[in-house]
Amino acid sequence: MSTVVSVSHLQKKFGSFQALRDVNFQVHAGDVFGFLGPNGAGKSTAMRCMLGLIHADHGDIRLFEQSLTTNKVGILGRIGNIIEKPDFYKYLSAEANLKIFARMASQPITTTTIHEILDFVGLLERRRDKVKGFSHGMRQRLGIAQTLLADPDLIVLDEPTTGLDPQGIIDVRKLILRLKEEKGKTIILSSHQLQEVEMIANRMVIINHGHTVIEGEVATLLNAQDCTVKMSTDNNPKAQDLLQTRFAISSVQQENQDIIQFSVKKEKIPMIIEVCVQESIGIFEVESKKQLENYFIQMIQNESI
Amino acid sequence: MNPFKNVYNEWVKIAAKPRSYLGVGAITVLVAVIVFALKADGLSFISFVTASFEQTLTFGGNVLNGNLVAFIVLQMLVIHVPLLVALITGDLISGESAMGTLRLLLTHPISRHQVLASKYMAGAMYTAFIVVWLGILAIGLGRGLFGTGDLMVLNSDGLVIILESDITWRYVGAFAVAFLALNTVATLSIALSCFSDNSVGPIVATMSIIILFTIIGTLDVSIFDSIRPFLFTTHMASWRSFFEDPFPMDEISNSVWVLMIHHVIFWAISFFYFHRKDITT
Repeated sequence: MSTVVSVSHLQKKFGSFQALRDVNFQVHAGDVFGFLGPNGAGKSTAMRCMLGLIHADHGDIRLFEQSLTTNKVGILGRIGNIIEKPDFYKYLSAEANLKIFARMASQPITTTTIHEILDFVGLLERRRDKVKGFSHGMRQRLGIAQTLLADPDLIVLDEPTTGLDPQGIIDVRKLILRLKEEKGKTIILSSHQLQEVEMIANRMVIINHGHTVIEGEVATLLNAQDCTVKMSTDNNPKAQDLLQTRFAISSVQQENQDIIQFSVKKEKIPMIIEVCVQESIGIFEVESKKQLENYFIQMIQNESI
Repeated sequence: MNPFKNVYNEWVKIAAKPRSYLGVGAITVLVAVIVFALKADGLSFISFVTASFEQTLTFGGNVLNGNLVAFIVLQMLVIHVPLLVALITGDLISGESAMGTLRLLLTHPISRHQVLASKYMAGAMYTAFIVVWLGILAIGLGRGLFGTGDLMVLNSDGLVIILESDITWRYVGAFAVAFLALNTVATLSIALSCFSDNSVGPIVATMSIIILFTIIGTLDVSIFDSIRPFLFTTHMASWRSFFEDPFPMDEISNSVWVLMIHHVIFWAISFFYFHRKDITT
């Protein structure tokens, strides 16, 4: 599998503030790559360095196996991006905005292609409307349309669901999934919505305090973690007691009247069910999940210690 | 890629901004007001000039003609037009920075030098458009309403009469130098625009520099004597030299050189800084 992005030992200082200390990650062709980190971790700075908006003080950025320093224009022709929020010329229509960026593309882009892309993001009917009248969700979709104009090999989406209502988040998630499945794009996705990244990404990096904490396959990283189990029984106090005494699980919590929640290794779940049945505890429902959120918090906390 | 497409893009943006029409509208209204005022009471206006010569000279024919009206209009407006130019050109980069579109622009396959060059070209085209519009209005409206005739100009050396047949090329030259002077302002404001992330700052800074340099240029203090010839504001009114007799070729050449050198300095500063600028907005 070819490497689309390779970032190594990236450093950047703004005045006395060291925004990036040592960021390293690799994105392979076809990846949906989660780019995670708490606020101020350096995600946006790293992405801006990757797109040539910010000049790194030190480190190497290679895209499509070429150095960004020596072949920036050629590389940018193969990338579509939304950084932070999609800002457009508010006094122009959606179509006029896309035409501006189409004229900057490496290859000619026809009006028909622009209409097809607007149709793909569900804005064809509104193409003549000025962007200043667009909702945040519509601007996000126009942003995604803009990233698709030149049929890029790599799409960089920085917080594409920020500020969206639940329906908007679902719409953008579906769009990203379609980009992956229908168009086979390599996507770098930075988001605070860890659930989104968990659902979409196959690989990820977590950065904190300007350096890489961990990088790898989402499934592999999460498999090493305890599962979060939600269990509904006909006798929750007894089940809770059993989990604490027989299995030494200290993390048992009563989530609500009907459900208890705890963390445990995946292999132990069948045994827990068996013991509960032996103790005449009726089990209505068991749901186990490896949550990226837990993993993320654990990684960040480990960093802080 | 085709560089003209970038310039065209910049033109689309300028043409779509309501403030771009502010300058055109302001010039139209101001010229109309001046021409109307001269039509209503122009003879008493020029009698201030002719009165002192009437004991020794006799003025005949159409003195208050279109050529004189255009000259008066230009003299009154060329001082104010820099603000109208800076209003647009000072916003070309900082406005995009404030709006957030600059980062989108710079992540497309186009070098920063190309972005800046296309903005300079679009700014120069807008400035040229303003100058041509001012010329069309001043000369067209003036000649249409007042007719033509010889041009009578009062300058520091006395009264200069330029024959009607000798006027057109002087206006062409005067407008060309006026364009160069105004484009120096445009170049300055674009250069300042590179340093700012809000659109008001470069416009205010440009006007402040013009005011400061103008004050330095007019203050009769010997300490400024050595720098005065090198300030671009000293040469902003060089277009007037086209209406002198004998024609001061050296003076005009000197002004053109000073203005061109300012262009080069402002270009160099902006290209150097913009190429290295971190886009954090």
